[in-house]
Amino acid sequence: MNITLKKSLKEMWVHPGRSIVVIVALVVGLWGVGSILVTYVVLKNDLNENYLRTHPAHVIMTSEDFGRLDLIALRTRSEIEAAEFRDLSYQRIEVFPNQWIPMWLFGVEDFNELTLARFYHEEGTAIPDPGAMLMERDGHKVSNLRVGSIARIRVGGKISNLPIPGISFDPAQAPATQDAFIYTYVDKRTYAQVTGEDVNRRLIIRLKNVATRQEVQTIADSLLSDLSRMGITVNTMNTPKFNEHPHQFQLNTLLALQGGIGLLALLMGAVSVSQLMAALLAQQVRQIGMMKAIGATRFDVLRIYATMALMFGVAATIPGVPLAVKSGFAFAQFVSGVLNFNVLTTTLPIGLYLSLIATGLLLPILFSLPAILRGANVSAWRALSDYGIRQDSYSDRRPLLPKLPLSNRLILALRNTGRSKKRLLISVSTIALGVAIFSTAFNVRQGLVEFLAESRVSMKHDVQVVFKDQLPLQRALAPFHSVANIGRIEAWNGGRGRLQTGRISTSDGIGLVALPYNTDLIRWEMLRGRWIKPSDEIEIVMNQQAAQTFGNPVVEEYYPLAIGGKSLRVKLVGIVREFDVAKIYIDKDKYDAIANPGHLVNSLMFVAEDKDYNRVIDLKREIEHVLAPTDLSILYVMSNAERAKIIYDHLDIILTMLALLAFLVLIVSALGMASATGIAITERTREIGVLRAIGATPRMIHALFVAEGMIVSAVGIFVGLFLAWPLSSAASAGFGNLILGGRASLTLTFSYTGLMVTLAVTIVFSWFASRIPARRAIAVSAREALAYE
Amino acid sequence: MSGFIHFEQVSRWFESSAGRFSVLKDVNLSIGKGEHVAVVGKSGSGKSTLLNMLTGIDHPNQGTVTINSTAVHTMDESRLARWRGQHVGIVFQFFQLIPTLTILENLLLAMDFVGIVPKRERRMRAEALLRQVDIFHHADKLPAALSGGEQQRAAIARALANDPPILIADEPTGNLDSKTGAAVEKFFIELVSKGKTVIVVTHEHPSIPPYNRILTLADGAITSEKRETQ
Repeated sequence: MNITLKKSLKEMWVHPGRSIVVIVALVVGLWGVGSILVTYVVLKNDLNENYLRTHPAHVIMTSEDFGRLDLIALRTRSEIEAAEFRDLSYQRIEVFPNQWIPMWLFGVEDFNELTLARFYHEEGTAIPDPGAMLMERDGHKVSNLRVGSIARIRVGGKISNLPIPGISFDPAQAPATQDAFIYTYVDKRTYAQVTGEDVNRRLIIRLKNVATRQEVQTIADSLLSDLSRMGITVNTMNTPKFNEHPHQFQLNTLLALQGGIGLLALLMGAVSVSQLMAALLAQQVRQIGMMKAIGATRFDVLRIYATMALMFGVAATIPGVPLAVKSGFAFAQFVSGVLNFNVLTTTLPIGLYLSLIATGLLLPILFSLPAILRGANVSAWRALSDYGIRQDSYSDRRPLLPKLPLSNRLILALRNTGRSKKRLLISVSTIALGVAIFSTAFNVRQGLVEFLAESRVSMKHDVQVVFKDQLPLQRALAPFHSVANIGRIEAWNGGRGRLQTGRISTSDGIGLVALPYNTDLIRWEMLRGRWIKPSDEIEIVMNQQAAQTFGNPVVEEYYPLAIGGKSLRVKLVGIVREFDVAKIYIDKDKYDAIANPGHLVNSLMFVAEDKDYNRVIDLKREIEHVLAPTDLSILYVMSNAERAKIIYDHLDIILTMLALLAFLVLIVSALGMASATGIAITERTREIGVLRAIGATPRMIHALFVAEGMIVSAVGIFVGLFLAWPLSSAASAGFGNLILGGRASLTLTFSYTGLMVTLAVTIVFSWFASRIPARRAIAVSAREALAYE
Repeated sequence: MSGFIHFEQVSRWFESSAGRFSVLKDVNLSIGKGEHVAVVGKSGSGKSTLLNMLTGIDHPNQGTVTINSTAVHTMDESRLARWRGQHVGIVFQFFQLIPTLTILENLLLAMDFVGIVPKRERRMRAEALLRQVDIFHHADKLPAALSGGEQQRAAIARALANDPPILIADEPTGNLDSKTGAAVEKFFIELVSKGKTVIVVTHEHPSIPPYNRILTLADGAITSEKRETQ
């Protein structure tokens, strides 16, 4: 073996404990950033690939006039790749005894030939017999329904029993678990029998050669005109987000989170290497002088220590890269399970492996370079003149410490802390960064938790019943006369409308919620503008999802809104923060005057007298009970608590990852701290000998180093908490935007629990990080310490 | 200018908050090839600084240092390191062997740095040098496993690794018992007989012979010089 390489390798193991800390820090960093990269590569491609392989529809239209449509002729149009009728009915399914949730029932034209919006066979029968239905696989997670189960479907007052002979997989749909409903698939005949609805009312179309949603919209608009000329009135038209999975936002948030924190972990590992190299070179300065005396050039010295840094990289890369690949795939599998798609990637691009290896090998060299260059540039004379205790390394021109009522030992610890300004800066920065990120994770988490709480209180009803159709108020209220624990009931209505905001054609229709302007059942936080007021004008408020969809329209501006065939000029007066699909709120009286002369309603908001959780759940059960014998078609019955759970389920994976990754960063920062203390001890070995020679007991020396470590930690924690504030603010804004969309941000919230946990964890980590190397300091005898070079 | 090693008006001083502190003052010196020179003086007399000037480890503030027609005082650190490796072998008082390398590897490292000994010959040469100083049986041991005398012999072998014409030793017997010290001195005499220039810094009382010349330093100046012919 080459002698320089041999020397580099041997120097690595002069202080094995410290080298292991550095390697562990690098492995953790490489593992973190590597698994993120692997997950990123897998998920980035696979979620989209899963979605695109289904050949998702670009345009979805509903009409009662499609009986007049020549579908074969439509399919021959040059801009159309595929089109078929895929009816959809919103019904309810019993997932556990007496527990009903919404169900999307698709009426499929031909199970043998799915030209678009494909779903795949997963288990049991691929094509259901008439009278049977397939269930989407994610339904397993929210029900006890399996292959062979008989599902109970409620349509109005009628309950149908449908066997489930098979399970399908539909990766284009939002995961059932997160939205608490089930997707099912039947043939057209069964669809008509079960729902009592006409078939061929919903047309799905896939276009050729389109690259943007705007292009889709243009073609869809022209198609709409042509259909109109054919005498076909399209009731609703929807253009889903172009080539984007409905839950891509969750993935983006996860990847952004992982990326940022993993990178920081890697940087911290690299900083530890830089600290170690700086200390090693400071400690070996006489050896460098001697090597120069026997003929080593600056380059020779540089080569030796750069090789050593490279060896650290090699030692970290060997376990780090396979770990990263394995955990990256494992995490991708976990996320794919949560978001209901299959991991398709089995091999990673060679470029990714090379990047990981290059990162692992080169980063330690890069970060060690300043220290190595400093060491290599020291002259032979200066190097040989180094005797360990530098008189010029500490200066205190206006000594303040002696004037303070502190013990001499504490003054020594304080002065020692400030001896190497650069190392102090690095140590404090490492701890501060760890504390800031850890604290930020708690603050953002708290922001999300408060957002959920706020969502709960912003909807002040306890149970909501949404009917499939609009119906007279008295008929809607009739079943509930005998139900106990009802404080009051407020009736709302809604439908779909089309909004035009400048360049964006909004003919895809948007949900309208018509409610009394002065309702006390919702208290949304206003992001911009104000809530609806009584006015001569028709005022609307939209949520931030709607604002995002419509290109952030200007508040206090007027826009055309089409409702029920009438075009109105409405004034957008505000934008609210709400974690839900795009919606527009309008005053019910105004809505009734325009589109609902019969004052029909489609949802009832129940306020319980006794708001105890169990009493509210009892109320919900009782509502279900009284609805069962009626012929009312129910879309869903949901308690506010369940609604909050659905939102929480969307965010839970993000919250969990946030906490885990932040903890990882704190571990790396503790490793950095341990490394820095170890370095300080090694550097001052001769000084320890001097202290021992003048009467310091091992206990005093131990206490001195622990005190130094704790002083650094205290400063780091203080700076970290200070830094956490702007970081939390930026993170809350960023995550809020990713999760809520529409330039919304989470409210900056301070987590007291987070503060306590951060303080406790950091202090414990710092204590151990100082104590372990301090114990090593006292293990050296006075003679050994004085003889140390 | 004459002599293999030539100092002309060499001064070295250090500036500090207390003012200028002179270590060498206008030293003029000429040493011929194959001479065996002892430099003596009390602690603080300037011996180590003179040695650092001879090896190019330190530079004069004023004056010139010429060794074998090379103006050492004008060379930068990298050129100096290479030159030193080829022309000067240094033996330190505290041996200064690399603690993490074996004795043999310490010699190989010196050859590796300078690169004048062909790679395939290095091991053979290192082993031969270790045999010459009678510690070949310790070749694969780490320095810590050797006695002071053995470490010093290893340091001498390393100083000779690149076959330099000049050997400079700083208190080479200072940490050795008298018997081992005598063995080291004998080895230096053998080197001089083979044409090497050997300069030894010592605080002991050297005599002529074995030295050809004895230079006495006090307060940074050569105060007396004894030659073999005197």
